[in-house]
Amino acid sequence: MIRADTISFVVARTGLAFIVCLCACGPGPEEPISQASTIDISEIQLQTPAILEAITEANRLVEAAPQDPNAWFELGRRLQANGLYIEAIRIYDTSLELLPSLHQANYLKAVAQRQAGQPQAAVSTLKALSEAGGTDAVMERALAGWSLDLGDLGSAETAAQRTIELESNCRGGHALLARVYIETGRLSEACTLLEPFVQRAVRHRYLDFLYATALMKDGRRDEAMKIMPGTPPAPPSWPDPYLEALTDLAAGFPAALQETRDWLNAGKLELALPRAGELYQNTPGSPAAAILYALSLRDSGRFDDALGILMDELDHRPQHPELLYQAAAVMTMAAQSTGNQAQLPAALELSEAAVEVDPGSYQTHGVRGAVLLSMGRLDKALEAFQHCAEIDPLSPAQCPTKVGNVLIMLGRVDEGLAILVEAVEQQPLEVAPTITYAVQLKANGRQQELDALMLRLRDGGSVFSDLRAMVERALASGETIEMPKFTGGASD
Amino acid sequence: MTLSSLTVRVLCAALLTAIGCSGPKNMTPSEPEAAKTGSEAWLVDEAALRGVDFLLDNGYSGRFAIPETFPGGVALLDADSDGDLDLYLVQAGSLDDEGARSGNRLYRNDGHGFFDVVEFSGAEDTGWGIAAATGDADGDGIIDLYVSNLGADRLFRGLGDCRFEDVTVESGLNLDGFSTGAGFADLDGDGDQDLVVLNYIIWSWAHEAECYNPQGGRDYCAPSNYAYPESDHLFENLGDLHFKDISEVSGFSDLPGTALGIAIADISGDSLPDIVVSNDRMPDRLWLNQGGLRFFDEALLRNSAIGLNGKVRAGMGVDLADLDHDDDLDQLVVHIAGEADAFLRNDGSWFSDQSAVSGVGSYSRPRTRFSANFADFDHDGRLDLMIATGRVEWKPERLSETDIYAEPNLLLRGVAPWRFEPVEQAFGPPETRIRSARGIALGDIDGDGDLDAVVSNHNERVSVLINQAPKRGESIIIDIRGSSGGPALGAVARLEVGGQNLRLDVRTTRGFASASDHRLHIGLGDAEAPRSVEVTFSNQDCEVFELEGESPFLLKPGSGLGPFSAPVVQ
Repeated sequence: MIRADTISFVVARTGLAFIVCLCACGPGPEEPISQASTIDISEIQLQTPAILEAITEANRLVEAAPQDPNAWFELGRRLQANGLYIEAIRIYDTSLELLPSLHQANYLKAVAQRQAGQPQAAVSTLKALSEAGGTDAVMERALAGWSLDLGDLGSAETAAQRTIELESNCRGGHALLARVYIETGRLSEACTLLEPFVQRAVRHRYLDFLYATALMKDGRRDEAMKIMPGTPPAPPSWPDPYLEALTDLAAGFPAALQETRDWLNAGKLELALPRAGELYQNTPGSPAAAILYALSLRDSGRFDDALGILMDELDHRPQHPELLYQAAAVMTMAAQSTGNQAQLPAALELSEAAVEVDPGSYQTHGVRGAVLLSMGRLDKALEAFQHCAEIDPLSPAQCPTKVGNVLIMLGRVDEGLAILVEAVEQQPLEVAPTITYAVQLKANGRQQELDALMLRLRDGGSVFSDLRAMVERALASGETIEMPKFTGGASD
Repeated sequence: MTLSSLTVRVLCAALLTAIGCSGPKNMTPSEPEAAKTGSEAWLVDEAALRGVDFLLDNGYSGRFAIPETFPGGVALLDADSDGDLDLYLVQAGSLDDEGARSGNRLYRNDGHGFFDVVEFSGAEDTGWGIAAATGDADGDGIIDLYVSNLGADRLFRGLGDCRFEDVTVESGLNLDGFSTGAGFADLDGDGDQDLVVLNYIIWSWAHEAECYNPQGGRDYCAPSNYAYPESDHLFENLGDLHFKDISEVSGFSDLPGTALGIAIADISGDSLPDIVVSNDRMPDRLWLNQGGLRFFDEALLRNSAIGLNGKVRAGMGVDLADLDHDDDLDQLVVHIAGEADAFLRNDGSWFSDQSAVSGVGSYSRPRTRFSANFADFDHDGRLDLMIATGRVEWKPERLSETDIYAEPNLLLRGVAPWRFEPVEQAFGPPETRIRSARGIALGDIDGDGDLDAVVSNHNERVSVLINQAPKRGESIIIDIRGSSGGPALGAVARLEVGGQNLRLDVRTTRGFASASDHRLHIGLGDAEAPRSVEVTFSNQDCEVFELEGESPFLLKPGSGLGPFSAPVVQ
């Protein structure tokens, strides 16, 4: 919820910038746009009517306001979101002719260039944007990463340092700078940069991997072997609101799935349930559609129906990890809802099967932890949540928060609170860490720290206002964290 | 063998002898043909001219089953012991109906053209074929064939006269999975060739997933959608054509993967052959040989498992070469479009990624690369790089009228140890070079002393690419054999050319799903021909051979100076 608000906030803020700049920098109304033309649908190979409709609609907006850079920008975004990268680049160029300071268009053009297999052009676009002072931490981080890919270590270092300057707690920036240091043989600098992250209570396996890599390259093999994760880390995924916003514009079956997932996540069950049912009926054999429908039924309280669909699918795909862990999660929620614990051993079996099939997934460990927690097996639950947190501490499963919570339940209050503090620092806008931290502070009589937290939420400005209200409600009701709900579609 | 099958084989041998002696009357040698057409391309497709009509059917049925993306095994081998290279091509076909498959083909080379002799050869196989590997499984000095299938694999024992005998069952190689490649090597130094077999995933139609491209159309899935990675297999050669599965006890099956590429050679510098396995969207492996047929993966520690960006890559073909003449093998693993290659310089206990500085990425990155093979096509003394490409996912920009997955192959000329530039006229006209290509096999097909290439293409005729590159120097060929007379896989040749120390390993399994000729081709550029070569055989015996007379030089153990117990030069 908060994440979505953040995206809207960024988009709204940039939109305001468009309007300001349109007055100051755009060409006059009489000035012609060179080579501007909308998309000729007949020239591109469109595979689904939904995409055709989406682009036709954006075309119409451009035709109605051909001097409006935002209309062109919107058309470009729709093309890019639907895989038409070359066309998107051309359209972004047109929007930039009208409004050169349209930084988002430049950034998304660079992304489209990269998606179209033009990595050098993509870096050039971002470099020009950076030199014009038009980037933010997200764009600088992309420039650093892409420059590294092309072996331009000087540009990568500059961009990584700018990323850190713009956002000092950006782990992506630190990771990229460490990569530059490793590539250039400045190994002690890499270690110094990464050490604070490696010493944290909840560690990030990718940063561990980089640290161990620096040690290994430095010939410190024994130390490296101690730090190097046993299995390769999950790839880091740093947030990118511009790209996340693009996913809303994808059309076709994957887009329909995503839209339905979004409705479900937003609690719009009246929209999600019928659409999910329709997708399930129309695409038999699709595990993604089956899972989505089952989750919609689950959220409607129809646990038996949801479980029936998941178990039917599991008959056909007995080793599908998402089907396994979703079935385990639904069984556990049903047990919590009815108080009937009889199904929990079966849920545990399913969750353990999911871990066996996909041990590198935070979801499988997260659900196993939740089942164990429901069974009161706190030590085992702690282990499972720790696995989940190691794989991806920033995942929607919020496993560091769960680790902190279970530690407190085990009586290891100081350790648990320390982890919760870190989780809050890492994701200050996420609901679960802050609420859990607040509730546990209250439950453990840490009034001074609770006051400090509430003060921070009050002083944080409007961006924290929703969160503050939620925390206040939670404190009043004694609410804690919920069972994790996973609606992501692994199959797509 | 029954009496009737023996009779059939004798008859087949007689037929082979009868048809093998003369080619079609209109056959013309390659060089005059090239001169006639005025072609300036380095590699000219002469498949039709040379009588190779094989069309690889990848089994496309509109259901986007992931196996369809992989077939493409090619093997160049001397199946009839006449010194020139014959051609074995692996066929896939219908996933549902084995009876509808046309089966693998064996083409005999008479020096001018190829003739399909599979039905007389005993190497027929209508399994759903993916890859081919060559080696001497029975130590009789005659090359044998291993065919990787979706389903039961096959081991064909070569009889030396273009005939083969299916010895799969008696050899103990009863594999029945999704095998994507294999390689022979003497892993324990006992003189016989052990076998490594790659597996992709556990697959059946019930496991097939549904995936969509960004435009909402059905498309092939990434392997992560299946989540059933499979362990690879390691077989110890016990002699007498018996193999023992030691995957578990060797440690080799500890880490399942989605394997597509394999290379076997000493990476770590301890003279024991190690095993490089590239995995599709899973970490690549570097199985270090600990001795005693025990293996331990050190890819993550040595920086060859994943990118420094933390991302697993879609690993496909692999090749090894000592690009910087420091006596260790550097490594190239190629990937899907959008991902840089893993072009790794071996610095001893660590790999440094040279992808960006090599110049290769600018050309390769937009393409989905299946095979990558180093070879000195123009004899300038530097290794060039040939890359076979073809998409595995739908893209809006179409490069071929007939095949939406087709892409142009790449040929890059080595201009410095870690620097490559594209060859402008590499393959001739677009209609013959934009294909969905998979495996590459290298060898001197026309016997003119340079390396030619055979490339498999999905749903198109195979490309038989004859080398017509303008030469920048002379070359020599070194043919290193083991004591049985077969290719000395795993032997390492060290020699000095133009002041540089060269290291060349005798290998056949290279690139993707394919087997090249074992002979070492060495371009000399401006340098004088070397006078001697030091060879370390797989049992660690080291001999120095004088290179006297005309190339090719045939080297056998015991005919050189030595043996010494360790390499003379490090």
